Amino acid sequence: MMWNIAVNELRRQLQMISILVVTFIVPLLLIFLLGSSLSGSGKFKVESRDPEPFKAGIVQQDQGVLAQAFAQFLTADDVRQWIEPIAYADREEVIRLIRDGKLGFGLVIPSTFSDDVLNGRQASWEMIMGNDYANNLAAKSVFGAYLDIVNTQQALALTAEHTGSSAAKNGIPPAAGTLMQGSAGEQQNEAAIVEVNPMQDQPNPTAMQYYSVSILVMYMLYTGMSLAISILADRQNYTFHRIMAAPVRPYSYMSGKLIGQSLIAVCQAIFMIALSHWLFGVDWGRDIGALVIVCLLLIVSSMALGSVIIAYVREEKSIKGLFQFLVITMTAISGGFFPISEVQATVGPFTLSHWAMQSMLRIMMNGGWSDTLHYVLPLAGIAGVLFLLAVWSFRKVVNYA
Amino acid sequence: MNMVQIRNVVKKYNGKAVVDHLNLAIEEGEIFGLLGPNGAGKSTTIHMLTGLLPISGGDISVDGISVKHNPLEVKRRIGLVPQDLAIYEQMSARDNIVFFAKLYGLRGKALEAGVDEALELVGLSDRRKDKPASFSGGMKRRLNIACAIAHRPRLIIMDEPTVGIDPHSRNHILESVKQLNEAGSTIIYTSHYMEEVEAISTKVGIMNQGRLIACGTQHQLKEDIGQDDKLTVTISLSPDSEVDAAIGELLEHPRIKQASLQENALQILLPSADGSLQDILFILSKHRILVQSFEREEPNLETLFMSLTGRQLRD
Ligand SMILES: Nc1ncnc2c1ncn2[C@@H]1O[C@H](COP(=O)(O)OP(=O)(O)OP(=O)(O)O)[C@@H](O)[C@H]1O
Ligand SMILES: [Mg+2]
Repeated sequence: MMWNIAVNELRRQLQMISILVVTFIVPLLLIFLLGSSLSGSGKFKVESRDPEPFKAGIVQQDQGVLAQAFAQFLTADDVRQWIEPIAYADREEVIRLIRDGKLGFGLVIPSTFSDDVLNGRQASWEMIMGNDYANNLAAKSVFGAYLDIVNTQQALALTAEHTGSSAAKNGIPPAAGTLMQGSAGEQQNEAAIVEVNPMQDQPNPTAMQYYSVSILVMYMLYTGMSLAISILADRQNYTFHRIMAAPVRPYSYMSGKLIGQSLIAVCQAIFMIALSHWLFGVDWGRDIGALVIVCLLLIVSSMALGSVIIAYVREEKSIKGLFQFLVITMTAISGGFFPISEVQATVGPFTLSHWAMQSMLRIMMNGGWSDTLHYVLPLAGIAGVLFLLAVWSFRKVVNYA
Repeated sequence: MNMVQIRNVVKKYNGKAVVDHLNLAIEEGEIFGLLGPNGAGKSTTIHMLTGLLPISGGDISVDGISVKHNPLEVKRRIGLVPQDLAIYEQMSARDNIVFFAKLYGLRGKALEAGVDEALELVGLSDRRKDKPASFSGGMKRRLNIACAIAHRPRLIIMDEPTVGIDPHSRNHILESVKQLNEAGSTIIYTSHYMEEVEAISTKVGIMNQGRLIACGTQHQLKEDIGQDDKLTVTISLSPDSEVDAAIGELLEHPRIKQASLQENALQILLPSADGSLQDILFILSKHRILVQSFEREEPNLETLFMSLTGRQLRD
């Protein structure tokens, strides 16, 4: 029953040319128009990523046994590919140079570093973030990898000596401890991260990339409106009445509608991602899976919103008005039409589109999961709450009479 | 066994009973005509019978199955033709029927056969690929019926299937109802057109204000109520006060059961083969009312309804 209703939903929507155009063609046009007209506005990166290594200031205060090993590490090809290390004596000087944009990144190794490692304490150092998101990411993973190796070797060495290693004392088996530190950007325990210009630590996309994201998010947020209008149409032309007179459970009806509409939304997302890539050369990053998850979370949120609205609003005009108001406001606040750092930083976090856009931008820049998760988790949280609200108002949606 | 058994059913809206302790049994194989004026509670009764509306009191069973306890099983046995058109305008006639038939679990050959049969029966076979948006009102009504019968239900319920349509479609629909009945379905048919109900039903129930006020075969009903004729006297414009006075006087006459004014026609009920015509003419002329024409009708369901309720079936 559920699938009958879902398939019917798909067929009816895909049969209508006007809906097809609005669903698939218009968003691409919008991406093209916004992306190409605003690329020269100075807010966006103009050409593609510079493969040149960037300058990193290193303040080595550690005189211990590991100082030599670190110097060796810095000469490795894997490191040189990304970073050009320059030694400095003064931490303040490095910070000043980063602020002026002369250095891309800073690393301060404390004098106790070797001692800490040898005595089985967690070794830590200080990372100073530069202006470029991608450079910061590269530096975090390069230096993070070194810190991981050091800490892991030390933990393994201690485990070999006693059964009670430092990791085991914390209730974590050593192997798991290693794994947990294995990813870049997860060094909160060991590395104090300093941000010199916090607002600048943002993804640095091209205009085309930026608007592909914002338009995709906006259209995903509209998917719940189709659901609400479709249910309303069933009520107004009495087909809901007829379906309920058949041996169909209310939840089968609702799931059928949800599945049908969600499938259309997923097709829409795939279409927008694929065509923006082929037609406008938009680079969506390597992690398409993560992108799909963010799209799904948006679809769940929007469908839930649609279900809640249809439980209480019974007029097409009001439903459309409400959705338009919500989606446009959220898109504007989260910088979807034009980036506005101040607004984005203050009220942005109260919107769905903020978390979705920031997640997607980080996925585009290949930011790695741990960093992206900071934005995906709040989005998942909001989606969860909306979903519960939708479940709660379900009775009212399918209530006959 | 009874196909439908309605026991003491009550439906209340805001404390007001819209269906009021209704009792009704419909035998298998019957074409049951449910007559009643606007707001009598026909649709409400049907919605409770099909499990669409919760019952405030009493119980309904279909084919021996309680609607309250096993609504899905009951729904499986019923084909409902709603009073309002319930079709998808953007889907072809055939796709509409297929979609609804599938909701009853029809698949494969049975589905094909059921759908073709339904199209054939309502005379839409040659328009199967067209969208209802291009149909006339009568064709949409017929499609509305086809969507309820492809799954070959034991019980077909039609809620005013002929409102606002052309005579050709109406005859077609009445013919279809008879065919469906001959093919083995029990049928409940609501209407406020007594001619329709008279033409096809094997049994008739009359509802008014949520109650069943008469039930039986047409013959039984006419017998029970007695042989009242309806006299329609068309009059030319006369002062209201005079007309009212005339009606008052008519009602005092021992043999006249009902007298009321509908526009410019006096409706009077009096026993068949009664000689009171002279008296009526006398009273009218006494009040200086000019009679234009005079018509006497044999007893029928409409006169029956009038004598039961003092109201017309239709306004
Ligand atoms: N949801 C509701 N809330 C309150 N009253 C209602 C509701 N639905 C129906 N009624 C009332 O119940 C009464 C019976 O309505 P119903 O639709 O059953 O009549 P009906 O016999 O089918 O009339 P019609 O010939 O006009 O279709 C009417 O007075 C109507 O106003
Ligand atoms: Mg009705």
